[in-house]
Amino acid sequence: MRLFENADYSLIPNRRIGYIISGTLLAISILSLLTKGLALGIDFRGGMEFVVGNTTDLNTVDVRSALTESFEEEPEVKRFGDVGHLVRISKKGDITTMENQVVSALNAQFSGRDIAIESTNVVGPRFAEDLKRGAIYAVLGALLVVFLYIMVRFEWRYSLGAVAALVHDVTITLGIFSVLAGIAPFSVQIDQSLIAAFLTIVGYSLNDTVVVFDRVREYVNLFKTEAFDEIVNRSINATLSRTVVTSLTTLIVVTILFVFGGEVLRGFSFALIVGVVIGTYSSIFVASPTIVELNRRLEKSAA
Amino acid sequence: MQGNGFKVGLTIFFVGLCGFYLFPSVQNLYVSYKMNNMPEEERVEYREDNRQWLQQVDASSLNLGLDLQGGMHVTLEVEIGNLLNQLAVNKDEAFQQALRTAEQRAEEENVSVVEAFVEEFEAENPDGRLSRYFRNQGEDITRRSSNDEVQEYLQGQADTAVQNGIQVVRNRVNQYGVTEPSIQRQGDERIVVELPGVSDRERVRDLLESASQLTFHLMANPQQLGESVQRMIEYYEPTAEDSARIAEAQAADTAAMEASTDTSGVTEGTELAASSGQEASGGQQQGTALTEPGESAQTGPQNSLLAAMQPMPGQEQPIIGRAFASDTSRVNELLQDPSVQNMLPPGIEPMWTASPVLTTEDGREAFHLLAVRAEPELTGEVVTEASVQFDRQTNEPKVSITMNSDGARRWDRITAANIGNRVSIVLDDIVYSSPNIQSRISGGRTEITGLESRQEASDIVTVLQSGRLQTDLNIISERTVGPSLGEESTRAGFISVVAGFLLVVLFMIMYYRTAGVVADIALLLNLILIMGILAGFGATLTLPGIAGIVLTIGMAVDANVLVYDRVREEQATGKTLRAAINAGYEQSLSAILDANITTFFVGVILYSFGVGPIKGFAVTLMAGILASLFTAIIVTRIIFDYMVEDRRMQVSYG
Repeated sequence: MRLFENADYSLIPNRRIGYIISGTLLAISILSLLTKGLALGIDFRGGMEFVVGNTTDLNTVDVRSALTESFEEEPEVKRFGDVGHLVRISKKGDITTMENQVVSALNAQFSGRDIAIESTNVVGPRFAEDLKRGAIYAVLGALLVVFLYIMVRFEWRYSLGAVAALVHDVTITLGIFSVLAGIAPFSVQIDQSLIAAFLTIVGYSLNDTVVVFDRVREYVNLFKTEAFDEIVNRSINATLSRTVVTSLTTLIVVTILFVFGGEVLRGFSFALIVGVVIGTYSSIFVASPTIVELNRRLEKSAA
Repeated sequence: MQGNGFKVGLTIFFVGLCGFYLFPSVQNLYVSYKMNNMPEEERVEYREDNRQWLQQVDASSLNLGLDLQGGMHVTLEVEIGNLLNQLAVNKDEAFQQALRTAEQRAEEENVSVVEAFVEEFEAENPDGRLSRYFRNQGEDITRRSSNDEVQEYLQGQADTAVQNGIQVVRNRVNQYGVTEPSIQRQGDERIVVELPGVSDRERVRDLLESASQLTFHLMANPQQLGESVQRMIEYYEPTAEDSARIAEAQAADTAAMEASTDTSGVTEGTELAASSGQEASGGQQQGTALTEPGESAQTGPQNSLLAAMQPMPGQEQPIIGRAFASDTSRVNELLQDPSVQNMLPPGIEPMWTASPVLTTEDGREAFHLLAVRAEPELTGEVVTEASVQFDRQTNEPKVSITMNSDGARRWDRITAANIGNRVSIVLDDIVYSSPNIQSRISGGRTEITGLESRQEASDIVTVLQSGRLQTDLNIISERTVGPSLGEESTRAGFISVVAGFLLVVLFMIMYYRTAGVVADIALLLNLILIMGILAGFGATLTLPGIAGIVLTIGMAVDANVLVYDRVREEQATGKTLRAAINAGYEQSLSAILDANITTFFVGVILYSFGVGPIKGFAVTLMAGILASLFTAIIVTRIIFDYMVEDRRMQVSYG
């Protein structure tokens, strides 16, 4: 079986289409991030989160109203896979007291079943600040290291292209999470595991970009007479089959994680699905055009 | 195939190494499968027969994270602000102000409380001297000490407080009886506690957060004690129908006890002396008169108290009994019974020793249960200084304690009235030392002699110091996963790995034919290598870690895809199969390396900033990259060389 064998698409000449798509997605993402913002998980916001068991057959709305009565505030309640419900409380207080209040409120409302806490996740405000800081350092650090490595191995133009693609990918993925906040049937809150997913997207997108760049580097020496645009277009086409195959296998596994990986990994694997698609797209339509544009500027200023 | 000898050797070496590290995990899986299929009685028997071996296998197999096996992960913070408050001798408005701002800043920025406090104080009082708050002769902080010196001193105190906190937490956790707990320091002021399999959240929280206090207690009269212990044993003498049920479960505990009695007696000869240079009269050998093994084996199985604890009456020390760490919580439970409480001499509370009194050959530790007077004679505040010293003549380690005037006065009275009796140093209801009072001690300078090792001496000093300053621990983060959620996660992870693997394998065969099969062999090897690396480095497998493995399955084939597509391209230019393969591997190497090294860097960054389960993800991601580089560049090449050069096969790249 062969996919995109001897591909010869005019990708670089038509890069404006990519600019329009990316521009639109970026605009929507940034708009949503600025207006709606992100739903931060308790890792970064602090608070308490409980998973209650033995409630699978109960309606989420009923669970929420039972807790609203007891806590005098509306807690966040979500279905949690086959286990039961996830309850987020923003009220501050002693962990044990809160746990007991959740359990007794639910057992009073829905008698005859043994509703119990399955898991607890508590993050204090100071710890949350630390985690947030760590996450920001991690993402910035990753971008910096990537920039430096590619500068050493390739050239600064390539570095800029790669980092532009990474920023593009992470911004759009964040944007999608912002748009979906409150709409998606699974948790799209930003927590630690999502930071791990973002960095994986950074790694994956980079992987794709580097493969194209590697070919560009090779062809620059091979086809000395050809225009740079042509060389980049030729490189993308030559690696297109590999790009698609790797994206496919990766997409297969992250989709499996999304479907079978359980509730805990749902948001994480969703981010990866989005990231793989965008990362593949960006290595062709963002990273490569960036080096082409940079090259034009350079040639113009040289002339 | 000539010239591939080294590569083949390397491959066999790595696979062998991984096999070696993975073997216990496989054994563990097999054993738990076997035990699950056994009837209850047989299982208990099997477990007892192979206790040592099972423990060994379990300890060397791949660790599962708390999110998979269930348990509690608690991050505690030592309240340094409170510590500074306790250390300060005078607290004026400037001090209070600086401390408040510092605590707030520490909450919002990445700065320690001590650092923030010094900075705040200096910013508000440019000419102010910190030494005016923290004068301390013992630590050489005088009126003239510079702010830097004071800061260093405070940092040192904060550090000690965290060390003490760890010690306190360790003892409390041991007392609770958790298997394989992990207690680690994190950063400047935090302690991370991991308790696998624990589900009683409320009790653990109380246990970890309660304030600790150092106290000095007198102890029960050993003669009185013998009778009490006898009555307790009689109380737990079971009725006829109980005995049959209990006998089974406890036979083995007693067997282990028996084994341990052979190990040797216990030396307990610490003594308390006034620090006037007088020679301690040598430690007494004690504890050799243990219960006869045969005796306990006969009566033990029927009696639930005897099954958990070996009574040790008639000692010179007021010892109620001795029990293994695994049984201490059971003993506590049995002694909770109100009627049993009444059997103890009035005002007496049973307390465990902090350090094990003996260790069996298979590493089980036993502790003494001592009868201590509940009402403390003195509290830790009176201790102004404690240090390890060495005897000038014998060079034996000893602990030197200095008390303040109030403490010294009361100590004088207590020691005068109790010469020949023991006094116990208690922290958190745990006895750290119970030396014999040798003489009346006036003037507040006391020595504990007859210690076994320098380590014992410094442990006691740590306890004395921690008692001087109260270390407050706060839970700042807690993650608890119940066993059923853990099981569900494990199952979900397992299904994902298998499904991901099968689909990718099928896809590769469909797409690349023969070469796809080779890539699949590499992929399988890859999985073995990843698990081997995890097991070999003692890493912990978490749910995000499993996600990392699944992701690696998808991304690991990338290196093969790069090579294969290049081979196809080379074939299209008319090269022979052999030449195409050579060119394919050579030409794609730089792309493979660049792509993987950058991703590896990302993994390193994730590892350094991530916490808990995320670290597990980073580890598997990095292990996956190393493994896939190895299999794609070396292993598949060996296979192709063999097929094409040795066997002259026509390999299809699809």
